[in-house]
Amino acid sequence: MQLLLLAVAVMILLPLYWVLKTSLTGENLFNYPPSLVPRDMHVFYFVDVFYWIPFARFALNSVIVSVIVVVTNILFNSMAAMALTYEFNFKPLVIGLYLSSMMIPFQTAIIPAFLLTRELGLLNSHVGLALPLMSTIVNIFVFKSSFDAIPRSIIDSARIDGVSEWRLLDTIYLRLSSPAIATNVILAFVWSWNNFIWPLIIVRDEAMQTLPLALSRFLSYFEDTSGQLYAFVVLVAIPVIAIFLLNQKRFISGILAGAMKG
Amino acid sequence: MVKRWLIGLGVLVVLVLGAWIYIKANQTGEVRGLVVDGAGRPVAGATVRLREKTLNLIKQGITTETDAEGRFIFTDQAIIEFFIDARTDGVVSEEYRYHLYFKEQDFELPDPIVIPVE
Repeated sequence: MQLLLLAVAVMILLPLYWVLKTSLTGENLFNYPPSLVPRDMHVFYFVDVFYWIPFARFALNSVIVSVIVVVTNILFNSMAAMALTYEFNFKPLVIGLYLSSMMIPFQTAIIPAFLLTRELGLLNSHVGLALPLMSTIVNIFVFKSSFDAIPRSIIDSARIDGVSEWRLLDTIYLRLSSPAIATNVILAFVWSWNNFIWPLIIVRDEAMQTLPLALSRFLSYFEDTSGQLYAFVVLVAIPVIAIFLLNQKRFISGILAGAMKG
Repeated sequence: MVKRWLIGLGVLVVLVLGAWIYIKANQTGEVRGLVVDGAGRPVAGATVRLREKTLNLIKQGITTETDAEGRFIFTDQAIIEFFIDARTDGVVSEEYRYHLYFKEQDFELPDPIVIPVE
């Protein structure tokens, strides 16, 4: 069993290793004989990425958009999830609407989303880039599962003590839901960081491009520069891996809670 | 969780700051080196040509001459990758290619440029 797990782990990690190796050696996939061991390693491909394109500018755009998305996800999703813990008329209908909207792919709503963003004057802006991901249904239900698990007695006693709704959300719901927050942070960050189609639609100015757009352009311009291309891929992937590793334990417990109670 | 984030952020800040300080301390834009003949003796008065390599092209070269000790220096070079060769009395050396870690890096060629003359 352990051998099987080891084999699966190698299968998963090998492509990542290959990307890292190519970014350091420039040996592309067609080199013969293929070598697993890196030869003549250097960091110059990473240096080229920084100097050939305005990488820092693109990275800053991605960071700004991702921070907006993460913060708004935590705020809006927790508010929506808190509302869903209450009993009110047509609650099953509201939940049904939420769930059914998950089944509509974003591509089908992209034209109305574009028109709306244009009417708001947010085309070509960081807020406009973040807009469609500011609240996500999956993350609302991650919060809802976590909030549902909080004993009613704690909420009721806080209410009896005169705690306001905002304070209830802040000091009880969110304080007791760190796995759900971690899950929101990771999912929102990854979705925002990897988002390609929406920035492609609304960004007009090169200075507003995010990393996935820049990567696509880099690929179309410089097909034969495998070392630089793979270095770019590594630089794009590092923040996502770092965010996951920083939140890994809580993320897994948050997802598991959602799986059991969602 | 917050502690882990702060440590991660702190490490990142230290790395970026360290790299920035190192770059600022070594950003003179000078490329220096030595030209020798086949026997390893310095070649005085040799013409050294440096050609910057950019993303799409290799630029027209700039030249300088070696001093009595066979040494040369190019100043104010905001380059990241370049080719360099030397010639004297119509004999040309092999062309060497170097890549720098950052623009305007203070760089001493690790090996002398060898012109195959006796």
